Amino acid sequence: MSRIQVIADNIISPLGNTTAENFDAVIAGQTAITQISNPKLSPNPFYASMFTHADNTSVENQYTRLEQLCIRSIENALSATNVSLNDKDTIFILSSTKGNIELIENAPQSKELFEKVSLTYTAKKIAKHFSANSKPLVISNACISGVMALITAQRFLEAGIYKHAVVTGVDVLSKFILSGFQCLHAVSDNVCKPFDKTRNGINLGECAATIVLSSAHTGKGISLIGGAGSGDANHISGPSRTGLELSRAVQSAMKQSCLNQQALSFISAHGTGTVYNDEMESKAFEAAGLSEVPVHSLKPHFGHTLGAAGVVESIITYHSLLQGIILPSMNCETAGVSGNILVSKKLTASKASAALKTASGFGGCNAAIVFSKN
Amino acid sequence: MKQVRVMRYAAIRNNQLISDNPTMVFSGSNADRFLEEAYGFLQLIYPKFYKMDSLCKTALLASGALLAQTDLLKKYAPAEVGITLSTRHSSLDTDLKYAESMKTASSPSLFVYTLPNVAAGEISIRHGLQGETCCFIEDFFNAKLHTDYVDQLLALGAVKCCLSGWVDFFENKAEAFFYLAEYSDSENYPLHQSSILDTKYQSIWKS
Repeated sequence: MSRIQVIADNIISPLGNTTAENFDAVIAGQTAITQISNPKLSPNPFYASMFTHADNTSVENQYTRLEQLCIRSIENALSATNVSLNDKDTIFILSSTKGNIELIENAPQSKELFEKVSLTYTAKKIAKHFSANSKPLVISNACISGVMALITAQRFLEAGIYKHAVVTGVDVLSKFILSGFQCLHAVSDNVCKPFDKTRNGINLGECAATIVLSSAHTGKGISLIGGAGSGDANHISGPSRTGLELSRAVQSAMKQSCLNQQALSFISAHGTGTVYNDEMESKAFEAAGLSEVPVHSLKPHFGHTLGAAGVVESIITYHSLLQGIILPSMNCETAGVSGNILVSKKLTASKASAALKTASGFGGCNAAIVFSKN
Repeated sequence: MKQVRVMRYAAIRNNQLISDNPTMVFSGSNADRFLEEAYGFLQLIYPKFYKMDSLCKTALLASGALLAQTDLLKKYAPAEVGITLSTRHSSLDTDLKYAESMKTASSPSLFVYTLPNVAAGEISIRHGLQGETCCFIEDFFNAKLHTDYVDQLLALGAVKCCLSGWVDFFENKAEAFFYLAEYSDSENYPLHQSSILDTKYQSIWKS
């Protein structure tokens, strides 16, 4: 069992600029998803979680909007620690699916543009802002990026290659991403309803979230105790029909954590709100023997924040553990999935010490991690 | 003593397919035709190839050469073989094409290729590999990242064998450097160490 410690975190979303603000908003059942009319992004109104100008960033800045969000998130997370990116024992891991992709929408093609849009350029800019001493690492693995970034950090810390890791997940909304999910007919016509029988798609969301991990065990707080991934080898843009591959990742993560299902307080699922994703997950959790463990999705609060999803949802997951609560799965009135799962319907208390976070994504990839209260 | 070793490799560079398997070496006539010519040479008979973007085609060809005349699934369960990739330009070639399609009608068949890890997905589908996959964005092939990461995967038992390496496609330039890493006690195979991998990579890149 691994014992990598969470020592600080931050969430910047339209629900708030700190973990506490976001956590309180989620507990209060708030959603950042609203109907947006913005012809620059879409000819028709759409539902998404987007920053407004008031809580957003300056355009007169050497950093893009996405980079400013990362910098603010890292600054806030690190302010509560004595960890510094300037330390050679600290690694910065950036998780993003599309980074600054919006730059290519209108600008003429040039070497300079291609450089600026690359995720390594973005990561180096952010690392430089913090005078980072180690080369930043960039993970871009579709919707499991954030969970894979945490698993990668865990392994590098376990192996003693670094002592601390600053893992930041980020994505912002662009016409590029929105039109892509729209042309796949994957965007919900209202606030998403994960696991509900009337669910009809996702909402995109903007977010930057940071978790600071350390190999120095304090015996307090939260530890990341297991993580595993798997591939479907089935389809690049549709999930597995059986869920057996996600199930295997879940079982591997549980085995690594030396836990049985009684120790699990709840599962924070990927729960995008598409018909096929939620169906696949329900089969996976049943196949993993977790039919009795409450499941929820945080997507109705934040939307699908892509590269940030695994990070922001992990933060909410382990803060729920610390508070001893299980959050309800918002907007699921009548579950409509064929796998036998227990969708969490209301906020309840729990004394169990661990929680599972899962993710699945394009390319047919799955990942699962386990957090435990010390 | 069993140590992580590099069992074989295959690369794509300068319109050439390069491999330690002498039957898997091929020179194309030019960049425009290389991917299709190499597909013909490898005799893959895999119609999905034509639907893929160039990054995935490059990955598929390099994996085809790497795993030619071998069936990993005779030795390992599907879940025991993982894929670890790194790339510089990610899906930018397809991103630009998709952005162009947005001006008229956004193309779903292009959009699904606007993620770099889809290349790992295509390899996994082609070869039936269901182990863990991860995709890193790096400016150059970073041997130390690959050895650090893959050694951990194997040491933890997350996978027993890993297809690891570099793949890139941009401005009509296809590049790949794939190798297979697993525990072996045979000294016929080089150790999975960053200096050894770097030397191998450099020797191919200079050829």
